[in-house]
This record gives sequence, structure tokens and C-alpha cells, in this order.
Amino acid sequence: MSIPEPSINFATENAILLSFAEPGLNSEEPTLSAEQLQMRIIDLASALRQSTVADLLIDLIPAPGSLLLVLHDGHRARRVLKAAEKYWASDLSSRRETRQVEIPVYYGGDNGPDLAVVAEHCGLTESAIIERHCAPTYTVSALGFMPGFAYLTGLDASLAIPRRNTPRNRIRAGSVAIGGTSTGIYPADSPGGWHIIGHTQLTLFDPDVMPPTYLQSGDTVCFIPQRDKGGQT
Amino acid sequence: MIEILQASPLLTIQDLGRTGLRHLGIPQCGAMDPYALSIANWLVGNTAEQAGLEIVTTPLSLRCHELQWIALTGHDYQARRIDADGQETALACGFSHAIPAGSEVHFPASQRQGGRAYLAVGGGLDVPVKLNARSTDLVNGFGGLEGRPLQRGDMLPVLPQPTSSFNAIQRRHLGIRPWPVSGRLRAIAGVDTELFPEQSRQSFWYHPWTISHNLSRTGLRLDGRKLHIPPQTSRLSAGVLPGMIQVPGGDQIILLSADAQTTGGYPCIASVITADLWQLAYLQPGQTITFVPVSIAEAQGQNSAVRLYLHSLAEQLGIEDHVYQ
Repeated sequence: MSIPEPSINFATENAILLSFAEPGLNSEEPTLSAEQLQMRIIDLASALRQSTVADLLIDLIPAPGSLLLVLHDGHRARRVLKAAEKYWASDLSSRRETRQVEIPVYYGGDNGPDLAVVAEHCGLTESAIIERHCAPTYTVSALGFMPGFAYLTGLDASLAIPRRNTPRNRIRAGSVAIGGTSTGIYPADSPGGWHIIGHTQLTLFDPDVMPPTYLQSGDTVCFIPQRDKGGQT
Repeated sequence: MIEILQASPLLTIQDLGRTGLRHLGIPQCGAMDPYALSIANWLVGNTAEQAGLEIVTTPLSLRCHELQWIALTGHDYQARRIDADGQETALACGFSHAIPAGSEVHFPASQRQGGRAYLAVGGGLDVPVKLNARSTDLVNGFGGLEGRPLQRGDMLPVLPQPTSSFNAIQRRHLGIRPWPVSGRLRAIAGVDTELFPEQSRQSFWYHPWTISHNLSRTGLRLDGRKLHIPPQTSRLSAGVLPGMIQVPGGDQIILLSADAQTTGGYPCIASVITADLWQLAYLQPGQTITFVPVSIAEAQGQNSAVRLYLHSLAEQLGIEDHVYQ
């Protein structure tokens, strides 16, 4: 199995962006799937957090297909990169503890005002949308955009739908939505253009607890449909 | 206790910001000019990371309910101390001043808006620490005082004044001169520089960019020339940091600032060096800036030089502080 080599660029004088090529490019060997690659990136970040160079790092920020290493002092970049290279070449998966997180979701009605729109667009019934949204085990490939927002991979391709033409000014925290080929949960009230199909009562970001985000990169996520009405919180 | 008598827009409590939480989507925040806040803190005997006020505009007034030492840095809004008997005293920037119990500090309305000013108070503002910092996160609504700009009637508790280091500063009447804002921002090539055609790269560097009215602690939108990105370019979202310059493809480019979100998908043509980022605190709509290319080594060297200077400044003021070591 070939492991892609990252391209290495300074994002600022104290930060290095490791971008990992799309798997399957420039290689005839079997390569990692996008999901395997992403787990490796997350594993690399946790290995570095526990390594001897941890003190040189302020933060390690995974994103889909990349890892941004933020250093106290860019002069130490060589040492950090050497450590990163060493871990990247080693078997990282043994270090992993994958958390499996279940998200109870109230679908449709006031909780998911766009469920009908999504059903019509996809040519499916509302219950088929719910079923297909709950079927996969998703992976948190990264957190970003806003505190506690998880980039989830694994959406059933038949549920893809372009964003709304007119974004909503306010989407309430906990809304479960689909936009493009992605699905996600809004951790806070915010404007947004995704289609809202359901709602969870879980708090995804709370600055008063540690860790402040309910989901972490590398978690696997399942949506569990709730039968009763749920209602507005 | 410090009481806000009249609040100006976007008046917030800031310290040096939250670090180490961007992987959870949590932005940095903190003073837009961290050096000015640090210096103000040192002048009242605090360590650099204490929380103070970030003032964006005036008029603004506040009352000290007990004797407080304060220091002002950043833009000079010609603040005055007004005592209970009506007597007025000018408060020079870059020095510390005693404000007797019951006296007020007024920042009059100013024709000359010059960006941010910082007010540090001996001891530091005592709002709850949220995720390692007292900084207000206006976008996400936490930190500072209830995650919001300050308003009239807010009462701000103050931590006890550290005495020993402060007495020495008082004895010697030490002051710190502000740095001039040049509008010349040094930058390194960005992670996506290669995506841009040579012509776009050339028109980015050295040519003037105008600060638009769309500027905030999140980022400053700049007007200049349209930079061409090859149309087939698609880019995954990746981690972003303050100082990075994003090119969304329209007529404006975005210079990310302290409150910027943690990931972004727009191509990044350049990144302003850390040693010059403080200037963003003072840029005003209509003002022009230019980007000057420097190497990564020079950017790192400038960062070390600024930190060394600040560290020695703290030492000369008799403050034991390791923030810039």
C-alpha cells in the first residue's frame, strides 16, 4: 500500500501546511481511500501531540486532506517536520481509540423544515431520506468553520442536494442539514444555506466544559432517529 | 470596579487570545495589537497576558470606583481624567496614570479616527477565563463579559494590583513610545501562490490596496485589482490563520485577522508576517496599504527581533514576564 507524500508549505512563517495528494493520483499501486488517508492524518496529529516535539507546537489543525502545524517559532520547523516524517512512515493506527458517537435526531416537521424539499429533489420518500441518512457510519474528518462544527464524511450519494438559493438568516443550534455532498450539525445559531432535515438536542459546543466540543476529529458518528416529536428547545 | 458610563461600538475585553484550540474550530481572538496591550499591561505592573479594554472608536467614558492605575497605548484619543470636582487632566499615551476613586476617564469624540486604543488596568480585568483566555469572542458569543461588546452600566471587576514591579515603574516615570503605522505590510508567499498566474502575482505585490468599509476583527476586505485564479482550481478547506490573504475570486481580497474562522477554502496568495500583524488594529477604510515580499527566513527573523525587543522592554520596566521569551 503506498502512502502519499505530503506537499510541505509555510502557511505563515510559524506554520506549516502538509497537504496530502488525492489518493490514487500519480500511482498505480493500491492506495489509501480518502477515508483511510484522513484517519492517518488525524492519527499523525495525535502522535505529534504526544511526541517530544509537542512543546514546539501551539496547535495541529486537521482538515480534509491536510494538516496545519502551528509552531511557537518557525525556526524549529525542521525538527517538527522530521518527527512528522517519522510518524507518517510508521504504523499509526495502533495508537487510535476510535470513539463511536450516537446522535439522536428528530427528523422532519418543525425540526426538519426542508425534509420534503430534499425528498422531492432526490426522488425519494421522506422516510427513505431518514433511513438513508441514518444508515451510514460517518467519520469526523475535521472540525472547523465554527466551534464544534464537524466535517462528516460518508453521506449516501443519493442524498446530495445543492445548497439553498437563499441562505437562511438564522438556523438554530442542533439543526442537522445537508448541503452538496456533505451533512453536518450546526453547533450554534447561525446563518446558513444547507437544507435542514432534522434537529438534535445535544449541545455540540459549550465553552464551559472540557473538551468544549462534543465531537472530535476521528470520531465515528451515527444518527439515531427519534420517534416522538422532540419539539423546540 | 470600573463602570462603563458611555460605551462606544465594539468596545470589548481582550487579552492575548486563545491558543491551541483551532483544531476544535475555536478562533484565537485577543487584542488586534497584542504588543500594545502587552506594553499597557507592563506599564501598570501586570504581566502581558492580563485582560484590558480594546477601544475601537470614541466617545467613551468610564468611572473608577476605587483608585486604579491605568495605562493607554495604541491610537491616541486624547483621553482626559475628570475628577469629582470637575478638574481635568490630560492622560498621555504610553505612561501610567493614577485614577482616584470616583474619578472618570473620558475619551472625547474624535474627528481623527485612527483605529484601536488599549487600556490596561493595574491587576487586569477580572472576567471569567473561558477556554484559557478572557478575550471576547464576538462571533461565537463567549468570553469577555457575556461574550458581547460592553455597554453603558457594565461593571468590570479588577484583580488586585501587583505592587513591587509597579512601584519601580512609577519611581522612574517610564513611558513607551508607540510604533508608527506604515501601511507597508511584509508578507511571505502563501500556500497557494503557485495557483496564480504570474500577472496576478505581480499585481498583488507592491501595488496599493485600499481598505474597504467591510472590515472587522474577523478580516479586512481590500479593494484593488481583480486577481485571476484558473477557473478549474478547486481547493479543499484547510486550516487558516490570522495574516493569511485569501482570494475569493471577486474584486476584493480578504486579509484574515484575530477572530478569523479556523478553516477556509479560498486560495491564499500570501501571508502577512507576524511582526507586522499589529498594524491591522489601526487600518481605516479608505487607507491604502502595500504588500512587500520577504523570505520565510526574514519573516522568522523579524518575529524573533520583535519578541526580543518586547522582552527587553519588559525587563527594563522591571517586569518578570516570559510571554516574549
